[in-house]
Amino acid sequence: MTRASAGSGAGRRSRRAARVRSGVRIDPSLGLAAQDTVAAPPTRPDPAPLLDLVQAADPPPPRPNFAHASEAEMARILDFYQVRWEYEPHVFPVVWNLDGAVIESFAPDFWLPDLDLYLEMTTLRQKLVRKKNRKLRRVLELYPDLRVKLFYARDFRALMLKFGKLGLVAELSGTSGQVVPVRPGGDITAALELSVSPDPSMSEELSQP
Amino acid sequence: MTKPIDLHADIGEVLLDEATIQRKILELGARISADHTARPLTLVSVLKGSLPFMADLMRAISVPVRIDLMEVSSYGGTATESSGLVRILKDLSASIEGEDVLIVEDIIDTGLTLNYLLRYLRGKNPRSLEICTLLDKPARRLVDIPVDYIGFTIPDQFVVGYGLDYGEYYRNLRFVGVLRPEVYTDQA
Repeated sequence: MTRASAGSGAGRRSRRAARVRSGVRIDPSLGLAAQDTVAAPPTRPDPAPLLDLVQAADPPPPRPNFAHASEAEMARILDFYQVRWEYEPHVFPVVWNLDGAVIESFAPDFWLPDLDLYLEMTTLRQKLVRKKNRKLRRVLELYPDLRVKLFYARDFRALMLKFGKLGLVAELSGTSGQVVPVRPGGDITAALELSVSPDPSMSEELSQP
Repeated sequence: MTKPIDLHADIGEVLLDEATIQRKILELGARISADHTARPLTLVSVLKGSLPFMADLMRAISVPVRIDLMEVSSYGGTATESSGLVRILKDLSASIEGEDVLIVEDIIDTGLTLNYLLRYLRGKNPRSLEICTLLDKPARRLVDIPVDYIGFTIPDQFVVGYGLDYGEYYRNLRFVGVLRPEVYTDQA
């Protein structure tokens, strides 16, 4: 898979989950030190074969900083079906000022190089979807050869239904699925997902035929 | 499934009744037969959804055919979560090298599975590789794939029956129907 920068929301979640699974939590009230809780295993396997296995496997490619959980899920689906993708690799200027400086541009979420197709996820509020639709129309006027597929909330919902993951829609759509961007120099594991209730306008969008 | 399944009550609308499906299959079988008079054809069915279609289509074809079955894992399937990649759960039982192959699908929506399957089967060097689908749902297409034989182009609705399932049920309906949304929203 071809991917850009590291540190996706999904990646952070899995890393956090891994830490929780492997971490040893010690209740200070018990008065125990860390070494009291970690006993050496009775027999230690020879580490050499394990090391060989680790070295033989290709390291997983770094995950990009997805802006939205639905994008991370889409990346997992594309990975599953072995469709190569890049995350926001290209930016298309759409509005310039009188001095010729770009003041508005469009960066589709995914580029699928083997299909020569851009994929734009629009699982957010209806107002933002309308804005994005307008921008896409402008993009297609300026770049008529571009192949862009807009993936609306209803498309995402249908996809999740097809894969038996409809229960995930609420947490992967709308404002609930937004991921706090990682600040430069900050700890990427400290980034949190916003726990906001789904936007009421989502239901309007989801009910579209 | 938490609610008891009522095969007929859970269907909001019959999209394609049994007679309509069978008429179309006879038509498809005649077309396929006419297009493949020179050489034998190998039909490859993709389990599990295309099983009823395959059974009816092969009997509607009048030229010699071999049949074979494949099954590929689907995203979200519990058996495949660990790998993170689509897997061939059941491979072809015979070589298709140099053969004319027709993939028999129940439905094409995103095209992701079929896109994977085409790449996989092309690697087995068939003489030709064509696609026949009973249902085509172009509104959901992510990967554009040229389809040689299409039974019905259907609207963007969640359909079950005649091999198509929801939660592995409804496959044994003799028609294709639209599942009532409350059936899956109640269980989400």
